[in-house]
Amino acid sequence: MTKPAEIRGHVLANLDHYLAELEKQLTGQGGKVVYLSSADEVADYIELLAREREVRITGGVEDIRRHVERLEPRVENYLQGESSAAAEVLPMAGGELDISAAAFLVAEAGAICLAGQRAGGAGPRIQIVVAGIEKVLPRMRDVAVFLPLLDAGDTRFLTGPRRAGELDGPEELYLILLDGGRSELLADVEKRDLLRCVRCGACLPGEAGGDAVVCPVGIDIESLPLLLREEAPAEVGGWKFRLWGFVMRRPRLYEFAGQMLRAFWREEWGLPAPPSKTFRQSWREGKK
Amino acid sequence: MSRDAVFESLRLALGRKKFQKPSTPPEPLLFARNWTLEQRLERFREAFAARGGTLHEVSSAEEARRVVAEQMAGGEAVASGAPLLAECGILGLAGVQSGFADPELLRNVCQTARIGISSCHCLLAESGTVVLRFTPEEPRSIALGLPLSLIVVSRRKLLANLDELLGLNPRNFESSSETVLINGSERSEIHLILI
Amino acid sequence: MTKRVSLFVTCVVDQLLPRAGLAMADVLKRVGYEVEFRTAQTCCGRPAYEAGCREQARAVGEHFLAAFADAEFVVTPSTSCASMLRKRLPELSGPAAREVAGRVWEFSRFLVEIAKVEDVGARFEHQVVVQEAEGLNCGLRLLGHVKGLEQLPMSDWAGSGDLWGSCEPVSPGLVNRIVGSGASHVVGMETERLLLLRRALQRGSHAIETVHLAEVLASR
Repeated sequence: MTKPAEIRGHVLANLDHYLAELEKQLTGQGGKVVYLSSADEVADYIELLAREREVRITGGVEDIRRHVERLEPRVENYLQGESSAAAEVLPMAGGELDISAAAFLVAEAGAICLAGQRAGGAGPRIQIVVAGIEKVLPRMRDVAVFLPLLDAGDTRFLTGPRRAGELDGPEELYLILLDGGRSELLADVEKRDLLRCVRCGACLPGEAGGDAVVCPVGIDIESLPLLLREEAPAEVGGWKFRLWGFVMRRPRLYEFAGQMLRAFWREEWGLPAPPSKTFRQSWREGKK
Repeated sequence: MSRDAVFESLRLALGRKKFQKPSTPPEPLLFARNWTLEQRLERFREAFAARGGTLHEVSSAEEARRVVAEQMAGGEAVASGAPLLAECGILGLAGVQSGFADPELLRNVCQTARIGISSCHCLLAESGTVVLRFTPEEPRSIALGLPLSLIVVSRRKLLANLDELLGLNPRNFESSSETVLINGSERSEIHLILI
Repeated sequence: MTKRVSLFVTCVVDQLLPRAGLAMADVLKRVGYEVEFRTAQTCCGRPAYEAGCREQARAVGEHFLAAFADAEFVVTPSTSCASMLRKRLPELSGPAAREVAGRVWEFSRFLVEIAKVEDVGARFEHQVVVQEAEGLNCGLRLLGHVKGLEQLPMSDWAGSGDLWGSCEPVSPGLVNRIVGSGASHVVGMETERLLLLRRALQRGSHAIETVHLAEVLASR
């Protein structure tokens, strides 16, 4: 195992300890730490905070949630090619409030590492950072191993809001630690290693690529497609898709199902109403 | 989920007990460079230029003042409270405003100012990085908020690389609210005055 | 050797966007291909795959393989279905699938890389925005030759929604950006997202129309 893989593996195996240390340090330095379970909850929290602080955010909770999901996608989604937008600063709140994603969180220093952002200027009044719970590293010196993997531009280490006597910098700093399915991955011995991911992008399509993709933290890229596509839990899959599969392998039954779909069409599916003839019908008629 | 519930579920997932100490974390391999000052300077010159920065190497406070005055070209500048700037007599130059104590005032001044003069925490030779640490004396607005940044720093602050910086006492990072590594990508113009 | 292609219209196009399939057939004929439609076809298996039901995705995928076993070229109007068949199906069904799967081509890619045609003699005098999709290159090249077409810039397609996976609706922000672009049409290659968008625009009573790339290319 490479050194980065070892360090990440160690952190995950002791995640509760490192999160507790991070929280203790950061709150001691004036930061606020919040634990939330989904992008929805994060969006609600941020919207409420903005309202309380009288900061106008253009776009509603929906847009905030989408922004959060782009900033900090689930590990599974990232590994399937959805790249995160850590470098984008959302200009939704007129410079008053900023929501960014962290590259790393350093437990011993209570520090938040933001990579790829343009540093500079007085900064927002309220700084919110969203990070998956797995993004912790034990010590500042561990950053030396991981930061170069990111090939980022500027790097910022925030340890809290502005200190007494400072003339600029955020008045409030919130670190939102997002679970979003990560504790479930952690509990699954086969999938825990996926959380070692540091979003270096080496495995994403369009990069240097070719056949030789080496993951610096030792995630088995080859077996990803199978690993990420396990059988869905009973409520989603199960009999529904067995029935679906049965129909889809029988063209005449499929056609019949199509007719039924039209007859019992539902608005809530969010799709436009079906046209009067299917492609097959039109094609058949064209052949006569 | 409440904070305690989160920790409960994590411990359950990991099979750990509350207050259980982790095993010793693996040590990262840090690449310490045994470079002389001259070697570090050589690397830094190249790397900093490649990032689009302009380097002025001076050997006296007077020279430093001259470079600053040249860049100001009779106009005005805003300077931070870094001790080095006072020592070099830069704060006394015509057109230099300093000694800010009010956030509002600073914000207003920075809206129209073109040049910011500050010092920095250290430099990293290998990557041509400028490391800034923000404090009451060194605000963000002045060091990085303006179109042209003039940064005055002593040669002795030139470290070899990131590993050296991060290998140093981590308490350093905790002592300020923000430390920034500037790698010059699409930055406002940076002139470094190395004394 | 006769130039012949087999259409795989996909279940979504068959049921909800037949014009795209008919347009695709028109264009293929125009550039000199004989076009056949095998009635045994149904679906590529993506809905099950996105839901995590590998078993059913594989079963339906294998039905596809059987239906098109001897087809030299299978052309489909959906980038995501092409991807499902070319990349995912071999993962599920093994190397045997690779042979047939390798003969599946997304429509725009087929025109540019196999038929080696970029100007299909189309005319579409409108201002459009082009919906983001994987493998947009060939589609853009083809659009470049369409007379009278003006492509307006639009880079942020976040909030496009998802029909099978996360089942997300289209975001109001995206609708606003499209309306704000000034375009009269949205051209798409990912049929599900195009349809979701169409519904979202209809509900907002916007006059903007959504069309599939094939329909644009078929226009004279």
